[in-house]
Amino acid sequence: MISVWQVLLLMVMAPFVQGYVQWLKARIQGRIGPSPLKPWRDLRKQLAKEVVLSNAASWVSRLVPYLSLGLVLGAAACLPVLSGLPGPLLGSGSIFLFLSLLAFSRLSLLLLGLDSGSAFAGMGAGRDLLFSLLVEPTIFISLLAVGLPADATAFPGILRAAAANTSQNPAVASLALVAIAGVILVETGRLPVDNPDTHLELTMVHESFLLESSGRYLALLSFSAQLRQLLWYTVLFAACFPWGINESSTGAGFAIAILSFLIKVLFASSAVAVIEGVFAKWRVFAVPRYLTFMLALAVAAMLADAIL
Amino acid sequence: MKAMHVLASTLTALLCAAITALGWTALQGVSEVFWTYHVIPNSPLLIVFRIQPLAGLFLCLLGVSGVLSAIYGIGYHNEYRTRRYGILLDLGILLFIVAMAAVLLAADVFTFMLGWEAMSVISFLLVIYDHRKPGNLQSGLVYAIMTQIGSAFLLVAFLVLYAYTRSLNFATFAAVAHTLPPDVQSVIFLCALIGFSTKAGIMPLHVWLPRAHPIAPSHVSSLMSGVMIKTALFGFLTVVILWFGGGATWWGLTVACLGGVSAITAAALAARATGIKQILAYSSIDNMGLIFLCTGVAMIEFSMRDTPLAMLALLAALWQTWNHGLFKTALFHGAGAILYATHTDSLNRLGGLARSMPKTSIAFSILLLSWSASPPFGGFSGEWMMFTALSTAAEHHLHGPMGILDVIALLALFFTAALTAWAALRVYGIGFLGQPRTVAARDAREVPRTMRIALWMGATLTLVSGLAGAFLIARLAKALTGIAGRVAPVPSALANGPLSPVTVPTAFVLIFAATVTAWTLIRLAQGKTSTRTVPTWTCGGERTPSMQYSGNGLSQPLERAWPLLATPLATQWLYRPAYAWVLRTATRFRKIQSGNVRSYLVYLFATIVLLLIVARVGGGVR
Repeated sequence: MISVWQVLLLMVMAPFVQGYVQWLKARIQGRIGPSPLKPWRDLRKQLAKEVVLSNAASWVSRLVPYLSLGLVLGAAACLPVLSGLPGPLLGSGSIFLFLSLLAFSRLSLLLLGLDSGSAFAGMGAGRDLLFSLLVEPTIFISLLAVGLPADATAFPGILRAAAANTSQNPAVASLALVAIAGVILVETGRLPVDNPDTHLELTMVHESFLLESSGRYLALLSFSAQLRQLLWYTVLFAACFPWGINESSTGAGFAIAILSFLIKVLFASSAVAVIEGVFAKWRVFAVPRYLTFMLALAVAAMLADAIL
Repeated sequence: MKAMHVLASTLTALLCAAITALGWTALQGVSEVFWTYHVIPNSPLLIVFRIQPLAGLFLCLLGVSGVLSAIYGIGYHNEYRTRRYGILLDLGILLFIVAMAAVLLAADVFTFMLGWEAMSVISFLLVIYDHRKPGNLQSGLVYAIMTQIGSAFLLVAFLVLYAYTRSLNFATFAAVAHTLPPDVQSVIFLCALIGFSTKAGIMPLHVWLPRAHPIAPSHVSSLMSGVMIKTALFGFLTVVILWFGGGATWWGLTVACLGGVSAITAAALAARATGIKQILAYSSIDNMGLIFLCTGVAMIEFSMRDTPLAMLALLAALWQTWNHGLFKTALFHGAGAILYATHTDSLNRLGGLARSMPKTSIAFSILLLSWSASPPFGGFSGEWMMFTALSTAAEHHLHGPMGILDVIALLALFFTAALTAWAALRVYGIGFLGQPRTVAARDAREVPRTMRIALWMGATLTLVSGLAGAFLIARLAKALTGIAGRVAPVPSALANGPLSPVTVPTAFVLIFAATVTAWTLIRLAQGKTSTRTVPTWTCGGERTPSMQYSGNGLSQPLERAWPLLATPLATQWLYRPAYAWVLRTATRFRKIQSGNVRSYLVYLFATIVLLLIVARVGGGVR
């Protein structure tokens, strides 16, 4: 049952996290900024609007908004948010299943972009694929670096390994932390890699797939993107900050878990807002270099496992 | 004519059903010689057929792939209707399947080489079926030459074994091969590696594959890519695991390195090529690379006496073999359907097929998802198994040098997976979505029903093997118990991984339920969609199909970020020098060809004298 509550909590929080980052970023840049509740209002407005589709669109454009949300929810069910008990929804919580579901949702998004035949989407797709080439190995290797010493390739085990790691093997924990955090910036389409606020062809990656979407489809797609962002934060917490997640199902334990999760999300999204506020966008072909560095850190974490 | 043709295809399908049944029997653990035929009485020239568990999987694959191709061939044949010798294509397919079955059932060298050569020759003839098209014959010849080089090395391996065992029987080899001197074992291993990896398309001996597959009729490409290259894996496993029990550690290391390099390089080539059949051909190389990578890891574990891990890696290799065979067979059928409907398979000339041929395109999209290892399809199951095997091995050897190797193997797996997703997205996004780029793509119509049935059967099978993967893997593991005198692993450590029978179906149901719930909720709250269609936004200009990204455009970032992956290394460092050396040597020999009759007489005389001396000396020794 707790798995269902976890997923519901993520769903409620996801748009708010997006709004909070936008609000804080505006404050850092000296603007007043929109209310943190704006993404929720946007979703409500978009759901009520008429759908405008491209005349080149096929069944892909009608299926992907729903499918993509379903896949992200499936991935959410693999994650330990409040409880470290193996989730009853997807018995295993395997990182392979989790990352494959997210990869599938990425693939479906790219297809949605190409479905309208827009040149912007093609451009964004090429860039996104280029990044994903380095993102996926990095995230896999960092999670394995945390989990493998405890023979864990699933999230419940990684959680336990991470709890032991921070005290026993700080090198692994900190290397994995930097690598995962560095990759999350790319995966969630944040500056300095991608600019979520503009629709210019020079800067767009993730936004370019949604250009031709509208109405309820746009609402579903934006909501999936917000949820995916929160999932990535949760992955980081599971691998590097397992504090507060417990295996008891009592009321007190539950309250502590929720509170600590909220605090961690607050810190993570503030950090993202600060980074967005102070960095400028990089050239697209500078990103692979940055990602290669992150991959090197992940491999170094793995080696630290082997040596220490 | 049409009736003859349907009859031949039906016969082929029935034969393949029988082969599947035979394979399933073998998977029950049956191992026996069931047919012996003396070619010449009282001579060692025998034809001996034997079923055994390892061949069971490959026989099942051959049978299923054959049934699909036979059904597909009924409709696809219209493409070749104008030819008078159209029936030869059906007979060729039938003989090709029989030859592959002979390879898988062979129990001695003579039978094996007979089947192997028949398989090579028939597939060569099938590849050049369209020999009137310019360039096809030349590509076919590259295939013929490479396959003959491979066969020559195999023959050397078998002859060395014969020299030491005085037997041509595989059972004898299995009993005594591991007692041979280590150097001899290594020579046999290297010959078998070269021979089999030529057929399997492992780099740098892969050059024939991307040339031969695009020109062959599509169901021939299906059988070649889905099954024939796997017979090479079967032969390799027979030699290396069944006879030598894994061999020395460096054997496995060599195989794993070759496999890993092939996987990444070929996946990058698949993400860059523009012809759909060529993309699929490269992807076959990359999948064989991954399979060889796992085989290599299994060999290393066997040589380190870590049997459960070795069996796990072997199981992963075999499970991926099955899944790749299945979806690649069907993908080539899909590529054939595109060729049938548009007469081109170049991504840059397609587009919009999802609207003009929706039934074909949905089946094709399922197969592409399976190829790109998306859950819950077969390709995902295979990749999960490989991930489990490699990460378990990495965990086991974490504090040793082998652990680093396993981490590198994992990296190769991840890179290949990401590149494969790129390639699959390109095929669907450019080929099937957007606006048609040419008139041919715009006027495409659905293909004949038999072709669609075969495609949908393939798509269903790959979904089933994804959902029921755990049962099939368990079946396979049980069949392999006792292979090379060893026991199968207890998969208790994997209860939550790919071997859990509930995980993947639960995920499938869950995602399906979430999708339907979202749809229902929105429908209930907001009513039916009112949809308006407008042209795609082009910043106010007039819209043309060429404004869309092309196949080359979508892969340009890859070429720009990693130019090394775009360099033809094998051609540059191996084939061109070899070709130049052959030409140089031939030129040197030309000097003795003066055209003067007297000098030829001198050569003849010298040869006879030499032969007399040899005969004399040889006789003296005896």
